[in-house]
Amino acid sequence: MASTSDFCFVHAADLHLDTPFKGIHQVAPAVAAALREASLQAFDAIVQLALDRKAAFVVIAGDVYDGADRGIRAQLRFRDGLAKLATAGIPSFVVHGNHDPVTTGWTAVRSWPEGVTVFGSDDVTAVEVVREGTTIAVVQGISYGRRDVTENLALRFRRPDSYETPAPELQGGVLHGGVLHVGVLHCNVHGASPGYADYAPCTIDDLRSTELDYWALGHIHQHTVLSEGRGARDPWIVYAGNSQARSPRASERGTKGAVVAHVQEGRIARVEHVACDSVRFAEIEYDVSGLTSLDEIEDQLLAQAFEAAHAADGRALVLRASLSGRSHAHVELARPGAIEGLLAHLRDAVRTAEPFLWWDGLTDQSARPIDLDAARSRGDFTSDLLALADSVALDDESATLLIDDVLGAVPRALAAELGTIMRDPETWASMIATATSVALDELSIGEQ
Amino acid sequence: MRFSGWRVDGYGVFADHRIDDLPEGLTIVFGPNEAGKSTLLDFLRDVLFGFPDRRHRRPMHEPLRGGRHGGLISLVDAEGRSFAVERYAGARAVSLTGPDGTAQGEAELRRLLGGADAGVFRSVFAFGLGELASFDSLERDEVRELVFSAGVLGAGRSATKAIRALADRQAQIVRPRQQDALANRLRKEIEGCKDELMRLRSDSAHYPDRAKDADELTRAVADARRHIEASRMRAVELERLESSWPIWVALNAATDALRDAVDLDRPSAILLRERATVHRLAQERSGHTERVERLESLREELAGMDRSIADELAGLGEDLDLDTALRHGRDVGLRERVQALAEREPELRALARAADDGLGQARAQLRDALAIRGNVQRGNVQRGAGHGDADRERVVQDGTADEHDPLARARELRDLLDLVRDRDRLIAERASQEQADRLARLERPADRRSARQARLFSGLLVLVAVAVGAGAALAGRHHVREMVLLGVAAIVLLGLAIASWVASRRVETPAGTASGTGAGDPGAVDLERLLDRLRVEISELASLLGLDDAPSAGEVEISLRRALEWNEEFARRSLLDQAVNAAAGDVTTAERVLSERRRELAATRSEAESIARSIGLSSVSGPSSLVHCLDQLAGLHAVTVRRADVEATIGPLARAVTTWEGEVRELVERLRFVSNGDDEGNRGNDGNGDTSDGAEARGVVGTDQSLPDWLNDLTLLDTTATLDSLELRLQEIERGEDARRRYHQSVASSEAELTRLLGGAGDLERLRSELATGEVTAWQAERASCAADLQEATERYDELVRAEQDARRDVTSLERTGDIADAELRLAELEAQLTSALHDFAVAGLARSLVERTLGRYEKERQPAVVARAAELFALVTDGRYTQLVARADPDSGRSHGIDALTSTGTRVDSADLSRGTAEQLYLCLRLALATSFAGAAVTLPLILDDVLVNFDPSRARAVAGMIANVAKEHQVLAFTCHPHIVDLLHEVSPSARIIELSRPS
Repeated sequence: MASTSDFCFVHAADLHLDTPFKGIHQVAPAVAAALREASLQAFDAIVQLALDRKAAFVVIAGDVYDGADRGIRAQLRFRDGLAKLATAGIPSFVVHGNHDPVTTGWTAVRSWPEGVTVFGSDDVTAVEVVREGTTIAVVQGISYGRRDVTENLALRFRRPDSYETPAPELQGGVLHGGVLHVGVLHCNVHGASPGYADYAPCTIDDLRSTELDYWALGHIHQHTVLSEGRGARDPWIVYAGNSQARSPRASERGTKGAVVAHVQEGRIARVEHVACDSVRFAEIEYDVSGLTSLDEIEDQLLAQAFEAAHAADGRALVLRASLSGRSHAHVELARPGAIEGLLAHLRDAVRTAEPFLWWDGLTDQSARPIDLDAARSRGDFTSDLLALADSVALDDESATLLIDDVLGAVPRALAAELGTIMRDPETWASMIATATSVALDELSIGEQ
Repeated sequence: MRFSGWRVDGYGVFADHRIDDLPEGLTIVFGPNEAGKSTLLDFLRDVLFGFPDRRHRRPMHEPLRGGRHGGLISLVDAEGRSFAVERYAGARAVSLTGPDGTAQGEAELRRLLGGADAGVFRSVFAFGLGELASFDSLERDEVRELVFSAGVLGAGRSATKAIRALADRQAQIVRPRQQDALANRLRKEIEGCKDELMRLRSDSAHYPDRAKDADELTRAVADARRHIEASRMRAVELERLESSWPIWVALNAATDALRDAVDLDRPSAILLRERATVHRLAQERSGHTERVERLESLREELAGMDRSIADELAGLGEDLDLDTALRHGRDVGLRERVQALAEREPELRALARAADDGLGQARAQLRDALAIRGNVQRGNVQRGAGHGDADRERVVQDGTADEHDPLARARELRDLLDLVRDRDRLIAERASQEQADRLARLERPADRRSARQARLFSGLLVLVAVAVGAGAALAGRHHVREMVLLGVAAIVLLGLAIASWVASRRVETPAGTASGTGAGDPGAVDLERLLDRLRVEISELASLLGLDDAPSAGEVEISLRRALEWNEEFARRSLLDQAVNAAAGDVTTAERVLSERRRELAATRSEAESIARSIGLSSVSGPSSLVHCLDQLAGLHAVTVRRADVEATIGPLARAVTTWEGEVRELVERLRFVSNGDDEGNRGNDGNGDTSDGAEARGVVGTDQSLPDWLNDLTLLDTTATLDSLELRLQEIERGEDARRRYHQSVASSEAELTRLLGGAGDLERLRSELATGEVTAWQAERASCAADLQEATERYDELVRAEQDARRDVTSLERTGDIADAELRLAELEAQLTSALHDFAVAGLARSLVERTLGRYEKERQPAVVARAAELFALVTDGRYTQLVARADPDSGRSHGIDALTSTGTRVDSADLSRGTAEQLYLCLRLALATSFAGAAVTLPLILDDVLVNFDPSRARAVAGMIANVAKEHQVLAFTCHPHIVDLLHEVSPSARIIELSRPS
């Protein structure tokens, strides 16, 4: 039986249209062009997804653009996509997030197509979604007025009483059910994912307390269902994740796209994450222990690359590899230009791949096959050096001394950036380990 | 590690120099100057660490006494394993042979040497007075490390080199004030990229303003376009008004002309309506005229033919009526029959004339034949009288032929002659037989005479024949018949001649043959019987021929000749007779033919006359005349036929002429009738159809005052002239109507042209109103003004369009540009590269710091051990004068360099300020301490001391010798010296020391 309460809608967030890709070292021109288009193509795919699924509406939960200096191309592409939806009778609801707050930047869009709602930053507003004369949903949202919103905006949302309806009823052969209440917000839910700026911080309980049916959230780039609604007034709390990965970071890997929320009888039945991205990132960590030559390493890395490409499900792939382990091959890897040469070989081997497969970088964290425990017990220079490295890894004061040693000879323009890199606690351990390995390499040149 | 021996193939003064079984402790190598001690020291260094090349200042020690440049050193490691190091100048690599005889790598050699390089070995383990003289050689980083940190790894690279390499690596990434370093360059590029990005973003931020400007320009362009269109439209209107003005004038003129045009009177209108009839009649007028003329001509021809028929009939006779004449005139069979007679008559006449001519000729020929025969007869008579031949005379005289065939007679005579000759021959044979023996082989002249006579006769005959032939030829000129006769005679004579010749031959042959037979031949009896029979036959034949019973051959020949002549004459007479007879026959035949022709001619004429009488042409005589009459009859018939044709032609012509003229008259009547107030229809029904006929019959038309003059002036007598008048009038009417139509057309076309020029329905009325004002000059002035305004507006419009296009292009470019994305991507790339570079820099820097700090700690923590050991040795050597050694610190780096000695009183003395011998003692102590420390950290290496004791006083020399002896307990020591007392001294402190003596080469 037909029901106006059975529909689906599309939930997307963090489009970061025309965003630069962070952390890409160097790309071929064709790859650069593809990367440049990737975020826009992902949005086009979301629009097409809504059209294909005949979505009742589309919500976009912030960070449409990557910054206040939003590009014209991105703005017009966004406008055109929403216009396409509007033409198809699909309303869209947009909030701005910390990357594109409404009071900063400028807009190239002088007027939005009919059916497009861009929520303001003053207060939460609600807009009805009417289908066949019946209100099927009420969408509430609020945008960021500025970047660093620390207010718990979720607390401003509430389920409006005026839309309280009884159980679904049959009217004129059409089943009319309850109104779905959707909240659209760009926020950081505590405990959702570490490493994200704590904008519009809130908790799951805060969100539940609003008694809405669905929270369409943005900000966290990994698709996450924080809560599946277990009944009336227990909302689904969903991060759509970003539509297109932006960097090789771990949080940016995997499938990126949008969420299709399926509604039956006015309630969320299930959510479906649909890939809309065109480029993916992957990192291969490969232990070279047991390998003795660069050729072997290249072969193994290529095999790993093809596996990753296969897993990317037809998407273009930007790859990084990190070599680890203790191997005699490290001697070859440590030679000047060896890593660059191997990277060039790898790029050349996949040059004709379609869609493209780009080797972005290759990091050598392998080491000579030295028995460090034995070396530590020798009582010689090596043991002293290893003892110093161990103390530096554990002792901030010692680490600071070493960091100061390094920064002391660096021009001021680079010192701050270098200090940031060196003082990053996430990378310090691996950096000092690599430095120890490099020192031992340098001291060991001439040895077999 | 220690040396167990060496083998010098060729090196300086050494050639094939070999030392084996070196002991572990002290070995004294003694030799005078130039014996090769320093050379041997260099040999040991070079084989262990490599030969110098041309760039080095060290001596090459090329072999002076032969042998390959280089050699071998035998080594024993701490575990007692033997190795052999073999190196030659120019060879790429050293050869190290292990205990098991297998080749070992250079790494193994480095292991055996404890990682010491050539510098360390030279500075610490193998030195002479040159190295010992100062601290400089100990200032090398590696040695300094050894001095102050007592070794680093025990193997591998020195810490200082590692630090230097890491510093280089860092310098490639970051270097102060060096823009080509990677990070420096990236930073600069990033700054540039950021600037570019800022510019692009600034440009993008102006997008709304640009878009607004573009929209305003678009509106301005649209306004300008409308203004231009309005000006252009007005200019076009004005141009159309000007163009329409002549048309407007023409329209008005045509309208006025139409208004002024006189309407047609009723008869003219009717005439115009009847113009098709008028035109048709006019078209038929020339045919009508021809028909009239033709009718007149035919009628004249008809009258002529009637007269001709009467005349012809009268000429042919009174008995002949027209029907009969026409019947016979068209009787083809009769005509053919008469024509045949007419044609036969001249033929018959010609045949009769020919027969008459033939008769005349036959008669002439007969006369000629008779004359010839008469002449011949007369000739024969004359010749017969001469010769007296009775038979021929008889024949000639009688003129009759002998009852006996002359030819048969001649033949019989010839036979008789043959018989006679046979007889005579037999007789002669008989006689000859009788005289055979006497007249053997005697030729019979008589026979030959006979043969000759026969041949003579035949020759005469030939002559006669020729003569006759000639005569015939002559006669042929005149008469054929004579020619024939003479020819025949010649042929006969020729035949006779031939026969005579043959006979002569036959006569000769039997005579010959008979001569072969003898008279006394027993055949004589038979011969006699044969003679008898011949005589009988001759007798019978002669009797028959009217000759004697036994004629002689001559008689027979004469008779034969006469018979032949007779025979010839007879033949000629026969021919002449035949000619006469033939001529007579011809005459008879010609007479008969002539008679026949004449009879036929008469019959023809009779038949013609009979036919003429039968058809009434009594005056006709002969076929030809009849034919002429028949021709006249035929002509008469033809005339009557033609007359009938003419009559048949005249009828339709007359009707056509009457019809056409009737139509003309009827038309005129109709015009008049209708003009008088009645219409055509009524006229057709009122039964007054005869009116026109009546008028035509009257030949005049009465004048009606109600009719126009042109109608009253028409006469019906001359319908052609009437039609001409009508046609002229019609042309006038049509011209008038054409003019009226042209006016109408002019009005219509002018209206259409005005409509076309003045545009659509809306504008048309307005422009017509404007056109009616006729202000052409004002229009022209306004149009000039419009043109100027249009040009100005167009220029303005072009400017706006360009500006709008530029603005729109800018906007579009901004909308489509990926510059910001490109710049951001580039910036991200650069930042990632910088981060990566800085990461590498940090790693290298940390590694360098780790090494440096470890090395510093070594220098700080382990320095006392080496220096203290050296101080102990130095105190021992100086007998307690100097009790302590102190390392000096570099004020910049804080790292140690140089050393000071403290006296027992605490005085600090820079090593540079010590006496040479004391300083050498200090440096020797330091080296020995280093060697000991190196042995503790790595491996024990042999010490090679080249005359290091020469500058020491005896007490200190003895002390140093004792110290060396002590060191030799742990290290292999090779002490080179050229001084015997030092040998003694060393041997004294170390009695077990082996002494190797080197002699100065000769």
